[in-house]
Amino acid sequence: MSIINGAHVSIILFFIGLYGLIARRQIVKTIISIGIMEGAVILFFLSIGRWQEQTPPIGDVAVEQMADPLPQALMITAIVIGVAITAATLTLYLSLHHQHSTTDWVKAKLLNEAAAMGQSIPESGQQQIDIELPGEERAEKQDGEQDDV
Amino acid sequence: MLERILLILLVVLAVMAIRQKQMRTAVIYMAIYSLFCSAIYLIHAAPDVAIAEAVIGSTISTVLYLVALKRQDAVCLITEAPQSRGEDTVERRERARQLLSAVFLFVLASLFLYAYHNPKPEPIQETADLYRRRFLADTGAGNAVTAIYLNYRIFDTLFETLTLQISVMGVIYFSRHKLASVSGTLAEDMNDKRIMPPLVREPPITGRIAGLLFPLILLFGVAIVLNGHRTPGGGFQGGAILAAVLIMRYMVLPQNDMRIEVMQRIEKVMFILIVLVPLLFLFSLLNFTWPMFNVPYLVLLNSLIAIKVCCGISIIFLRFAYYESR
Repeated sequence: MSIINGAHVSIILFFIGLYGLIARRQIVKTIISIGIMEGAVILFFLSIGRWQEQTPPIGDVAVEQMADPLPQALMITAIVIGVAITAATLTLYLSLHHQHSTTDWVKAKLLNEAAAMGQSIPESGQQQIDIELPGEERAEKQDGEQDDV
Repeated sequence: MLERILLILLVVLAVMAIRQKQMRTAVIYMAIYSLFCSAIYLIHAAPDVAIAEAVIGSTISTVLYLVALKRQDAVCLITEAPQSRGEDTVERRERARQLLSAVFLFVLASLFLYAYHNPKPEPIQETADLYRRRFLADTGAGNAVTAIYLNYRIFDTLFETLTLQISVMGVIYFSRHKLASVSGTLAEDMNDKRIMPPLVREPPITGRIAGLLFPLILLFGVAIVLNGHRTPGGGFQGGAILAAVLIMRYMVLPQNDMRIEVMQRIEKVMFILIVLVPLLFLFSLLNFTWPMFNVPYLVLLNSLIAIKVCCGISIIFLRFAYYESR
């Protein structure tokens, strides 16, 4: 069995998706990263039961030749729920975008904090809202996030 | 060999999708990633999963992403440039953060790979053998995957359809939230029959081709649903293909004459039927007293699931297109 097989690649892909989840600041990138992790998980489930060449579990084939049908049935469920997750998260993203005109986690967080402090935020702003903070304050925020990682 | 090439390309595409600064390009990379995933599932002897991924993951997800990103200006909004003030510090800290998380995740991935091999995992054979030996006699389905998700593990399918239902409700709720202040009540919002701006720029050519393709895709979807118990496919995949037909029609002919309310009602009725049919047939153990009804049961349940999934995905898409065109 070679080093490049489904299980290994799926573990690597999962961590690539996790990196995208942690390191990217764009909201759409986060949703894409979740999609990549999902593909990796499905690949992992399909490849862990596979030790030799197998045939699809359809029709009249020898039992030893047949692939395990259980992970396949579960993974169809995972794919349908995956599109449901994508749709729900994209709607959340759209409503955030319509409300605050931002596509950025950091900016959205700053806007939320500004709202909590009682500053007025334009409700239906199609124009870009620029939050300008002094360099020090922004740097502190970045620090705080680094601890979370 | 082909499998290895595809697996390496998968890693490359994932990295490109994450590193790409333009969101639309990233979405296209993501679509290609899904398509290659589908090819690999096929190599892994899982044609049902491959069809589901190709139809749902690669096509419908991509359409949803593109509709969601349609309004946004490709250049000014979607770049990941840091803010103007204190740019040096911020950028350096951002780099440090990314580097730190990359190193951390690399170590974690190595640990996982090591743990996966020590001790070397052995395949569990009991359940697999049980399903593989008995599925044809127990359920009458020629496709073991269909036998599992419509008979042995019907609860999975029930909760899966419920999840899709909840997702549709969430999409409707969140896309209504802001509109309520603009257009008044929900009923008004749902009955709005204004024609949306077309999603495709050149209707004549796409319209002609789509007209030729409609019956073929429709036939393909129906065949996938009705033969789901014997061949690769089934309710979820076929329903998604039928929804793709509706989405295509909307893109060519953007009229809002498909009534979302009606479709929602159909979806709810279908969900109740999907719960009731197995309840009456499987849980009362009628499938053992009358084994000749096994195949009609599978076809019926596949068709119900297909109608429900078709309605659900169409509602999600129409709400997206409607919300985004405001």
